[in-house]
Amino acid sequence: MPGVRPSNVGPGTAAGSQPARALQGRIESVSDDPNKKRTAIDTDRPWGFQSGSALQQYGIAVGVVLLVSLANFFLGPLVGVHATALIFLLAVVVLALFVERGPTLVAATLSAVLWDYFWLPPVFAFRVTTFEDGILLGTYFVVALVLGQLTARIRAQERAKRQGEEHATALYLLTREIAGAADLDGILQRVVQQMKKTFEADAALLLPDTADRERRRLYSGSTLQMNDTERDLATWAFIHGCPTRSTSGHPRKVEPEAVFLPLATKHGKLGVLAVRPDKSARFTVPQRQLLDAFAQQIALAMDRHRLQQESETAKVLEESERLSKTLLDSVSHEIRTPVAAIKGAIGNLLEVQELSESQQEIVAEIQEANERLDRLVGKVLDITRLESGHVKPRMTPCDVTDLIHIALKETKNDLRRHKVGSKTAPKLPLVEMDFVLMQQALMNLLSNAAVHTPLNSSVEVGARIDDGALLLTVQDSGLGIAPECIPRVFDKFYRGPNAPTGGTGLGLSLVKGFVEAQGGQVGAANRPQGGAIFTIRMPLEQDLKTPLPSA
Amino acid sequence: MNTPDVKKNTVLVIDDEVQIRRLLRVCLERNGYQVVEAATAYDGITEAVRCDPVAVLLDLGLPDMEGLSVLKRLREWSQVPVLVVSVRGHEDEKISALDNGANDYVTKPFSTGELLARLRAAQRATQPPERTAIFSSGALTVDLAARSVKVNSKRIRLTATEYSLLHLFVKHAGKVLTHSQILREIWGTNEADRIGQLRVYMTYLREKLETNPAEPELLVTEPGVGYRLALND
Repeated sequence: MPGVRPSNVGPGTAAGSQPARALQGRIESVSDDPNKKRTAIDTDRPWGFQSGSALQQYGIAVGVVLLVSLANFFLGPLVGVHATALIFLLAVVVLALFVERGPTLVAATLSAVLWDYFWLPPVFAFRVTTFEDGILLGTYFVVALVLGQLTARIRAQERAKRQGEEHATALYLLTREIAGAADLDGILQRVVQQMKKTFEADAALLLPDTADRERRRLYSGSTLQMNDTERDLATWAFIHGCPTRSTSGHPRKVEPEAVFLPLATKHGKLGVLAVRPDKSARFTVPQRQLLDAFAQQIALAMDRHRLQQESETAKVLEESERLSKTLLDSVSHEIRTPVAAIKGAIGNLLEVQELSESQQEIVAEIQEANERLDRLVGKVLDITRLESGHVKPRMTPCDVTDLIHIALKETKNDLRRHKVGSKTAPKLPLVEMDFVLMQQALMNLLSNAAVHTPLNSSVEVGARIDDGALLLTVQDSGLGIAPECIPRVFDKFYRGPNAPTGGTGLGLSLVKGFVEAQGGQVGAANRPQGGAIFTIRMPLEQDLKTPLPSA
Repeated sequence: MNTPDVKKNTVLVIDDEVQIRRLLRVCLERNGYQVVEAATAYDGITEAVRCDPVAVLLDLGLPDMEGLSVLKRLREWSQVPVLVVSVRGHEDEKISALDNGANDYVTKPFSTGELLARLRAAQRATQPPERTAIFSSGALTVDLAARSVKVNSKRIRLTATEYSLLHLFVKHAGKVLTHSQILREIWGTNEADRIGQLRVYMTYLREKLETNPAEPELLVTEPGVGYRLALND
């Protein structure tokens, strides 16, 4: 039938392009005003449309067939029986553009049956008498079915494409919005706004507390109020890094269902986005997909912001560190230069050896005072370096015997009027520590003992391994420490009530600072047999516990 | 100003502090040196070219860290002994100076006796090696030709690594060697995690060579920097 084909295809294509244009207009309107987006998404339900609208569609299909039948009833005598079949076919094809596959099938079947019964001779019977009529009926039925299928497929593709474009537009809007935000609060605020615009949903953002990583704080601009259960769900989503949703507690009362999406990138967990639709009970599947994409974008934006902030903080820190180090170095240089000059001058003076006895005494006084000053300056600078974080231990495996020897050698002059001994356990392993810092700590303990114990009393340095740690001890046979002072001896500027003059109250706090910087501990106690004992405890690394093999 | 021809025993002092320069001049001149002063890095290099000193005393404690760059510039063309002046707590600075060719260091404030001893040791190190292959310091005698080591005339057996370590110290007797310099020479690496190994070998050497290994007098520890073989009479 050459005449049939063009009339079939013509209206089909024309009608097919119509929704496409309408769709285009809709997307444009969406990008103009994001408020309209929600309607676009919400009315569109590709998976499992609701029973109401399905029934409606079947009604429409049957109604259209009945209407066309009525029209054909009048037209039939004028155009002939075959043309009525074409009119039916046209109706089914046009119908296929607007309704789903099922109603199209119903319309096709119903129209074929009606046409056979009322128009195809013999009228009022389902019988097909001629071979030609049989072919006609069969062809009609197949063409209606195929066209229905094709239009349905085209519609599905269009819908998918439209959805993709809508997602892309919504995502673009979100990214544009949050990219314009200056700080984290700006990002969060725009996220909440965008949730409202795109999904007509309330949103809340839970962020890890900056002070306590275990706790989560609610972003103040959140529009979603959460109850305890929902907070727990959000926490669960945060910890496990997978999305979850709330289920209504009451089976009869339908509460809108909230969705909790973890915000995380490969750098870590950043928070949770909680969203609950305002009007509908739950999000549709495409909405959920879009929400997931949103969550990813939000996480990326937050992460980017965090990195940016970190690099800025690092820059500021680096600069302030550099400044304070420069200042410290220059102060150190400025103070030490005159001390060095005095020392050099005294050295020259003593070398001349033309001094009278009283002059020599005076020079010796200057020398002693200068040494005291030098030590004080050294201690103050050390405390400053410790407190400003410029002491960076260089941990290497150290020979404890060597360490004790150097410390004793350097404090020989301070302890010249004491009986000094050392007792180190045999075969001590190398211990991971900073040699110079530990030497300073030990020297301060020894100087402390020299100042606080009577002349000719004994001072002993000890080293042994005890319970997976190196114990360095400095014990004396002096008067010991007043029990109430023990907890405070390592405090800065703390001096015992009966402390002799000459101390600064800095030495022991330096010991504590130096040792703790290396991951060790300090302790002070009185010995049962009299005198005080100071202990430095350095944990051993597992692989260093093996003693030195003998040579 | 010294004339260029009077250059025997000229020491160049590079320090930004005029008082320190004056004191060093007094001290050094009384001990038979001539002194040329330079207050800046630029002057220091110019003077080093002009007066051809027997040693350079270089202050690293300049706030702008010019000291190290002076050293690097000097080392591009000259092997003159360089003694750097640093302060305690700046061990990294000392190490980097030594690794960049400084011969030794003194820690501020230093005594004049210490300074003169270091100066002499640094000068001695750059003099042409003596013909004799015998080295001795205190009770230790090393015959480099025969590879024999004696303490109080008693023959000591050393392992190959111990001997090459001792040999390195003897070659640089009196000079401080940084950990990384020793590691590079003996183990061909300067990985810091080998320091433990070095310390173990130093313990072995001390046990074999020192009269009292707990109070070493020959193989002296320079805290945080390295070791030095002392030149004892």
